[in-house]
This record gives sequence, C-alpha cells and structure tokens, in this order.
Amino acid sequence: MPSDYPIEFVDLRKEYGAFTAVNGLNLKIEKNSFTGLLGPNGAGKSTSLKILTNLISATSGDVLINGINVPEKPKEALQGVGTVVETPEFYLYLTPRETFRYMGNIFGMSKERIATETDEILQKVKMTEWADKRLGTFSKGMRQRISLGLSLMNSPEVIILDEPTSGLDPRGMSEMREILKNVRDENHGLTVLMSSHMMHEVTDLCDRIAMINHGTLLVHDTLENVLGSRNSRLMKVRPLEPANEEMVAKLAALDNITNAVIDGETINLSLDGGDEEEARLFEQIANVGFRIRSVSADENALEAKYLDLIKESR
Amino acid sequence: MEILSKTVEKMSSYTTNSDIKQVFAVMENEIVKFLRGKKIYIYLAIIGLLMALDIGISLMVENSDGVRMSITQDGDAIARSLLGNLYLVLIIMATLFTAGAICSEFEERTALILLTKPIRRPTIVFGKFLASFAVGFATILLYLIVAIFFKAVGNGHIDGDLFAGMGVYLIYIMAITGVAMLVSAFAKKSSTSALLTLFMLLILPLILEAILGIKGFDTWFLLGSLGGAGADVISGGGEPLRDIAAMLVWLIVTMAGSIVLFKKRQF
Repeated sequence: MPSDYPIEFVDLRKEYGAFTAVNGLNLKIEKNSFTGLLGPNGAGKSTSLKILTNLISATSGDVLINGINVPEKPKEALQGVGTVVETPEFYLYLTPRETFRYMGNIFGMSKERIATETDEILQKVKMTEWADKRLGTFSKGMRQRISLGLSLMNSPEVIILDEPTSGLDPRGMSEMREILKNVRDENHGLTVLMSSHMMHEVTDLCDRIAMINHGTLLVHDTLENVLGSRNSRLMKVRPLEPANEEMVAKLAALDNITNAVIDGETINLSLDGGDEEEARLFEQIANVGFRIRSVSADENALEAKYLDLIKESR
Repeated sequence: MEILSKTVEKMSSYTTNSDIKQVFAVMENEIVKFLRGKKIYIYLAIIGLLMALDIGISLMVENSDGVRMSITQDGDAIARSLLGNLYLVLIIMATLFTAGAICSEFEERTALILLTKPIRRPTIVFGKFLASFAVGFATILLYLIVAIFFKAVGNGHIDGDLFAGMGVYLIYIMAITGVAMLVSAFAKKSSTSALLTLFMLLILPLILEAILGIKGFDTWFLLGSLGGAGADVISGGGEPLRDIAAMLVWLIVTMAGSIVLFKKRQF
C-alpha cells in the first residue's frame, strides 16, 4: 500500500554488546524528498541504513519501506528500492552489461526491459563505452558510478545512498554529484535518503536534513528551516603556526563562539550571531595571542549548524 | 556463456514463480564465476592427473604375478578403479567451488549489492547449491564417458549397475555440497572455508571411522563410507537404498543449517 512516508524508522535500536549504535531512532522520510542523513562517525547512520537494506538485523524496533517491514518481508520491501551502500565491490569477472542483466533477473525484469534500461542507465552514468569490459579493470570511481547506475534499475521509487562519494577523488566526487543532481531533477516521484559527511554535498543536493548522533535523531526538517532556525555561521581561522589545542582554547573563549575544532591547518569556529558578531570577532581575534594568516566566513552554514547540534548532543 | 544464458532463460520461462527465476539467476552467475576463474583450470588439471595416474599405473605396473593389465582384456577393471576414486574428485570439487559460495559474498563485499536486492537469502543458497551440483554433474558425466569407453573396449558390456552407481554419486554430490554450503555460511574467509570443508569431508570421516571401527561400530552413515556407495553399486554390491537415505539426511540437515546461518549472518 502506498505510504506518505516511503521510509520509516520506528523505535529502532541496535546494540553490539555494551555499545548502542542506534538508540531508539524515530524518523519518517517524506515522499519525493531528497533527504540528507548527517551525523559524525559512529552516530549510527550506516548501521541504520544497513538495517534498512536488510544487511544487518535490528535489536528491536522496525524499519519500513513503503509500509512493508524490511526484516519480515525483505523481498517485497526492497522491490522498488535502489541502493548504494558504502563502496560495494562487484563481481569482477562480469562486465557492467552482464552485471545489469544479473540484477535485472533478480528484479524479475524482462530481457527486453533489462537491455533497454541498461543502455539508458549506462549513458546516464557515463559508462556506455565501458559496458562490455570486465569490472575487474575499473577504477573505484568507475565502479561507484556503476553502483549508482545499478541503484536506478527497475525504476525505483526509493533510493538509499550510504556515503556515495566516499573514497573518491575530487573529480570522482564531482562527477557523482552531477549524476545525482540529474537523477534528482529527472525523477520527480523519487524519494532519496543519502548519508554523507560532505556538508556542501548535502546543501547542494538535499531539500531535507536529518541529523543524528549517538543513534538518536537531533533534527529533521527542510534545509531552509534547519539553516534558518538559528543565526549562526562557520568561521575558518588559519594560524601561521600549526593549529594546536592551546589556540583552540583561546579562540573558544572569544565572544559568541559556541564551538572550536581543528580541521587540518585551520580552526573551525561556530559563531552564534550575524554580521555584528562577525565584526566583533575580527576585533577580538587580532589580540588573541598568536599570529593568524587568514579568517574567513565559510559559505556553508550547514556545517556550523551541524557542529552546534553535535556539540549540544554530547 | 551465451548458451548458458539461453538455457537459463528457457528453464526460467517454464515457471512464473520469481523465486525460482532468481534461483536460476544466482546459479547462472555462480557458474560464470567458476568458468571465468582460475579454479576451473586447477580442477581440470587434478582430474586429468588422477585419471592419467589411475590408467597409467593400471597399464604399466605389473601386479604380484608379473602381469600387466591391457585395455582390451581388463577395461572393466580399469573403469572400476577410475570410478572408485570419483568420490575424491567430488570432494575436491566441493572444496574448490562450493566452500567459497556464501562467505565470498561477504569477503569480497558483493553482498552489498546482492543482499540489498529483493531476494530472499534461501534463494541465494539454493542457486549456489545448484551451481555446484551442475559442476559435480559435469564431472560425473566426464567419468561416465571415460568408464563407458574402457568398458566398451574391454568387454563390450555396459551394464545397468554403472548407471545406477552414477545415480548414487549424484546424490553423494548433494550431500557433500550441503556440507560445504554449511561451512561456507559459517566461515568468514573462503580459504578457511576450503580448509574446513576438506577437513569435514575427508579427514574427519577418516578419523571417526578409525576410532569407531576400533570400538566395533559400523560407520556406513559417515560421508567417508558413503563416498564408496556409488562404487559399491557399480560392482553389484552395497546397500544403495540405505546409503541414499543417509545421504539425503546429510543433505537436508546441512542445507537447513546453511539457510539458518546465512539468514542470521550480518554484514
């Protein structure tokens, strides 16, 4: 039966011994939405998605796709679902065309439909010229594009993506994002749930955000509402010397700074406030006690919001 | 490859049940994996070597009376000798091909593709079981052809016991494939699974037969003893019905265990 919420997590719990990976997660994904599932490492994103795709079982609670309980009826629940979970490996002795035929047979598609869809999808993921070469010779990026292509087989109503650009080089990431954008724009009846660490990727692709930490939901709303719910921004401070914890402590003590973390050569500050508070930060930062090469406001406000929420949930 | 696809498609078209179609799809993929991998060459080389040794030794080495066998006079004996070793070849088949059937999906991360599709796990188990059975069947066919050749050249008489014995071997394939599937559903790595399969099918039965034999137990129900059931039938002896029943029990128990373990397995 069609549901307004094609994906539902109901009181989902997953324990590994004493460690609780998912702690009573309740989340309903709206129809025709492209929802970004955000959270730090160990937040329970991948575990939740693996339960959703029947790779692991839950300790308690339910996961439903189109109202069908996945662990109870995996075949029925996953019929109209495309998946890219982590970086899957392929049957390296097969070509993409043979892989599509194998999966098409699993879906119960006709020979003609498999052939037609294979050509269309390979074109979509820009792999047509590689259709008859064995997957064993493909790069990670090429395999990931094939993986995304497979998720489009059998005209899915729901697509589940678990960090689809993870491990790809910048060019590979960019290509994958372009393909995902095209998929989003060309399929208006599609519901996509995508976990990711890339804030700009989520901002770019998603219209809804669900943030989780410690296996529980922190926020679930439209991207606009999440960003607009608090006037905050991410400031990137680049010290002359390598960033260290002493610098972080000094910056964290400045007015309106809610969070400070080292991110490579920069220190990311979550600034609570708008232009006035940003100007005040520039005044204070000149006398912070160590030399600074640059201070810039990051365009991606989602990251600041994300860091704030994660900090609050600790 | 093309012939295989057409055959599978034709077989699939006989039913409307999607589970059965999926079984054939999994089976087809598994057979393609066998045919395109290196193991098939190892397997064929082992078969060739065993046959050459068996036939060569029979024809070239004199017996205690200083007499050598000849194809024309002793073809029947050579054929029996060949078929007597068939169970060992089938155990090698299960070790090489079946032992990695389930665990390789996890080890090579292809489970991320297959298990997230609308397919029940028992369907995958049956598909992979049938693929191994097909390889075993082809092996038996090869041995049957060679045996018929020697029998035909030797005494010109091909009796019904030969075919009945081959039928028993077919059921033996099912039993040992079941054991290999069970190990594969349990083991994490294909290499571990192969070692465990060899242990379960060859070494453990030998040890158990030796220990239980000393205590006076009849070990006819163990897979080691059942390996000789086909050869016994070809020689006109044995208790085929009892042995077949035991093989079917092995098949049912191990396949049920494989399905339970695979259903519980987490990625």
